[in-house]
Amino acid sequence: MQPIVRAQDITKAFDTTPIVKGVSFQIGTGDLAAIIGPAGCGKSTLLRCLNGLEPLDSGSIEIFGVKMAREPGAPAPTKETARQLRQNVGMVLQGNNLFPHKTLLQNVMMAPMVVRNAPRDEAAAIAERVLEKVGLAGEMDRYPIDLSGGQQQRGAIARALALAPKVMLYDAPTAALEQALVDEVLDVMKGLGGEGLTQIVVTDEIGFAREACDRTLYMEDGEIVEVLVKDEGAGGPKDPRTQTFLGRFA
Amino acid sequence: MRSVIAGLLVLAGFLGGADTARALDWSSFSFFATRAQAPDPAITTVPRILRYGGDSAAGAPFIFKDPANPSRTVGLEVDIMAQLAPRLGGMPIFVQNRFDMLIAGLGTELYELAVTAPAITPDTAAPTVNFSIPYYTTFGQIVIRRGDPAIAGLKGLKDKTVGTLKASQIAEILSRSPDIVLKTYDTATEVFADLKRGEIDATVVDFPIAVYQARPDRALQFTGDPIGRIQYAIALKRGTHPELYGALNTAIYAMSQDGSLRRILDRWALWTPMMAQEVDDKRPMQAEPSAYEHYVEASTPRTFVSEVERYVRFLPQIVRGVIRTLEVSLLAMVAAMVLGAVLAVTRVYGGPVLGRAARAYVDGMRGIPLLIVVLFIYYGLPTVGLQLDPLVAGVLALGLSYAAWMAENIRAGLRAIPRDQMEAAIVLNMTEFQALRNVILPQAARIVLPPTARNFVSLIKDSSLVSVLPLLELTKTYQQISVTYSDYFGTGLLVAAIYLVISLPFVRLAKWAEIYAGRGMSRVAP
Repeated sequence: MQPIVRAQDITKAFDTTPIVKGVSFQIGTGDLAAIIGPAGCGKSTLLRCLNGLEPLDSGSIEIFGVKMAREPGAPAPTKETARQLRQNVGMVLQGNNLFPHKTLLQNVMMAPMVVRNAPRDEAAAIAERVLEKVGLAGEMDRYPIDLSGGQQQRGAIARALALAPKVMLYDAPTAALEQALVDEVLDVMKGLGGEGLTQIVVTDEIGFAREACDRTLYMEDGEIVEVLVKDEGAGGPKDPRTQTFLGRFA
Repeated sequence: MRSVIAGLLVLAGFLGGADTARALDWSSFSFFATRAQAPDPAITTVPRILRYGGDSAAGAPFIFKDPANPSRTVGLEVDIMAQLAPRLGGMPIFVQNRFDMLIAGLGTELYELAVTAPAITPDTAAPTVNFSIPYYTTFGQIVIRRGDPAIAGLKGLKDKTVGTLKASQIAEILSRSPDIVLKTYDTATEVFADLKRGEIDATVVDFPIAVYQARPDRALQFTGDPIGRIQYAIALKRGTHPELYGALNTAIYAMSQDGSLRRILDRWALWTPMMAQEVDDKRPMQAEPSAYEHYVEASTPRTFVSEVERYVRFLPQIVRGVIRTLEVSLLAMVAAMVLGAVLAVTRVYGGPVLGRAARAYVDGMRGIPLLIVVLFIYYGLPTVGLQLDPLVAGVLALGLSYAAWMAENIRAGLRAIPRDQMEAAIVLNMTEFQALRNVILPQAARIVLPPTARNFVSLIKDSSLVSVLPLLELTKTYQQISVTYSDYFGTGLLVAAIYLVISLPFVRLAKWAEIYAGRGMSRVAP
């Protein structure tokens, strides 16, 4: 495996409650990885630490050669460090958070124009390309409120893709969707995986994790219990906690 | 009061030289004659442009808009300044200011000299200004409703309710009689209106005011003997232009001697026996009372057509007032928006210390009446060395005051934006400032716009409070025109309609904002 994401001993507490308790893992280039686990196990917090959205308490994260580290008790990494890290990391947050005052096209064009100073037509070309990729070429001029939940999530993916990230993070991208709309979002992610994009998704879609993901990190109580690797032939989870959790979805 | 003026005159004598101080003894009526020996002051250092402050809303005959042509400012004091200023080597420029702010205007150096005699009493002005020698001596005239029983004099006013002008010399004389129930007013128009309504039994006003504003009125009549002895002088700020003070006195004296003052007073039909005594001039009338006749002719009620013509005639003035009002209001809106946005962003994103400071400003400012803010900024700040142009002061006062309201609107808008909008921008690697500018504020603006447009409507209305500054906006123009024609009714309706029309675009903006700026905020029909 050629790791593109290396996480080492990450800890994160809110006030005095530890949420992530010293987590280490690596994700290889082009992998589609899932983080699963029961509610409150710290999987969302871990994901939000990966791009510096939540400042980690200690540990180190290296993504595509950019490293952000913090010794226990040392001052938090600077906003500038987080911004450098994020240059290669796109993220789709939980819930619907397209910018409601902009059309879908304008939503996707904004980041290239604001963050990369791209000229308007260049940004528009990028936006049209990524919107086509997520299957929304026909909806570009609509406002988010006039889109379905699945379309909104695909729009949010396109918005992140417009900055050409090396790694994509998804925080429960299908959580708020009715079952009928879930697949159109997951299909987009599979398609992107086929193009070689590295993706990490926090999800409750166990079937998707099992079937489509190269590796699945099972978390419980702030720790990674087990990493399940697809097609390794070792035959399913070994840890009894993982077995119990997955047993519920069998 | 006489002793105060005398004191000032002694001071004047002191400035002019020891020999003249004796000559200016008030007990001698012939002080004018003796003053002639005073040395000529150097007039070269007197300002080339001599600005004099007066209140044209105070009405005829002092300084007022010519009823026949309201774009012209005319009056007894205008004529006197026209004669006086060249003798001082300067060109006279009239500066409009509210009568009760005339002395304050001297302090802020809005003008060198202050006129509009009835408003200027040494009592109100004593510590900061000097007075010239008097240029006019007159008396208080009792005016009653036509047909009411005659009143002999001051004694006859016992137990009666008597109206007069606020802060005038007459008011001071009357207040010394404890039996008189005194009511004071801002303008002579109001005094006579209340007299006709029966709110007061009689009025005593300066003889010139009675001649111009009561004598032509069929419903009123003069009665009784002259009351008191009133002198008009010109005020100037103590300490500035010391050479102007001497030159001014010399010029007034010269005008009283060479007959030019007499001719002006005759043209205005205001020569008094007291003046005759004062300057020892027993000659008959020296000029036709042309200015008086012109005024009476131009201001008496006429046909419907001429009424309409009159309204048309003062339209240019109204237009200038509207432009001023718009200027003040629009600039104040911009100021209020910018400052309000800064305050709101500081409150929401500025951290505890700055946030609390912003909150203190908002809460404090919302509790202070706008009029206080206006007066404080223009007349109060010069005390600490900050002297502002009236326009700037008006814009600032309205802007600072409305910024507090704007800040609350904008804050409500900012808080209505879900937190994850900021996060969504951050994960797109925008800085917080970029996120505010591109994501948060544009959304907040759509929420904020409708209440803001409504705020603007009240700002335009509140801009009328700026009329207390020397700034000829619409309300001030209304006051001036109303006084000129003694017509608060027609002009009032007209001005009210104009305010309404000015605010209409903002009412429309509020409606538009609710519909169009709400794009993306509500579902459109598929």
